[in-house]
Amino acid sequence: MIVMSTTMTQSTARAAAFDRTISETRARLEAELATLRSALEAARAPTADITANPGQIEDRLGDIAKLYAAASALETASTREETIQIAREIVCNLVGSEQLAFFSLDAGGTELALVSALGIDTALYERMRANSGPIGRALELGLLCLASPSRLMLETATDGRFVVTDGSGEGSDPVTACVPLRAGGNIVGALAIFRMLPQKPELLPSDIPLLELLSTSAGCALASSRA
Amino acid sequence: MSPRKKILLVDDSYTMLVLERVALGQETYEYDMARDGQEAVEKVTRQLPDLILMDVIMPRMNGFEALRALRARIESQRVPIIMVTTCGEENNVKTGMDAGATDYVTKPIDPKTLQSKVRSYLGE
Repeated sequence: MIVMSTTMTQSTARAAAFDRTISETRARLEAELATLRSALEAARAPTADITANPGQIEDRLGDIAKLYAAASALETASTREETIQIAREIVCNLVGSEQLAFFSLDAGGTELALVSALGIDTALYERMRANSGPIGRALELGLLCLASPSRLMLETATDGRFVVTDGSGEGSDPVTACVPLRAGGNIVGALAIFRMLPQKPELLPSDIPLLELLSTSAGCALASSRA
Repeated sequence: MSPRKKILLVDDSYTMLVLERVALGQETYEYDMARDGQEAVEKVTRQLPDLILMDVIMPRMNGFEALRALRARIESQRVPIIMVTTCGEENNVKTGMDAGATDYVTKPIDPKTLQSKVRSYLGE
């Protein structure tokens, strides 16, 4: 009787231990499964994003196409005049404004001289002080200055590539954007974009790379004409 | 493999010609280019394209004038002609459509819209 009881006790103990092992193993496997599920969701997320928003891919490809076209066109220019002409086309046809002006900064950094313009009264902009208005701010900060950027622009472009400024300046036309033109680390001029086309009333985040491209290309063209 | 369809790009802006080719695919179609309306009419006379992208404001002969000249010719009456205009205003669009334009796109061009319209009129 005592022997039978001992055997039963041992069996019961072994069963209990087995149950504990099973439970612990189950808990460990469930934890691993949860981890794998999380990893799988994370791995799927970009795909889900793409399939849910194929338009985003097309939009990005379109932005890249514009940037490529702008760079290709600028590459063909061999003189200052050709570069400025192509830069004007880029602003008109890719960015979406037919009111713009290119300025050259004098050696002292105090005065801007009009180099090329479209859609504005050039008499108002022949010579301007370099320290006033949104153009002055762009020159002072060395940054793209935007007047009244859209919410999309403010939410998307958060890496300090532009500052917000007041659009009113010396001339009569409200400024949408001012781009400092650079060459070799120096600011040599400015591009002012005034009114946008009606069908595109605001600059988009995808316009910033185009403006940055113009900043260096037009800047180098201005600097080379000084040499 | 079927031959590539031919597209005539008409614009006085080199940047626009590059963009149109890149947006549509450099190897997708066979491209020819004209820098004004007069050159466009001359090229169409020599070889009929499958589609024409025509800017409006150009020297020598503008897009509307070229459009009328092309529609006056039997050979080019059915070629799809998409006007590329800066002004999306109603009058400008109406002028184009009355002159025989098939459709229009406004600048700044959206590559996706351009692709969609071109494919549609080429039956792709």
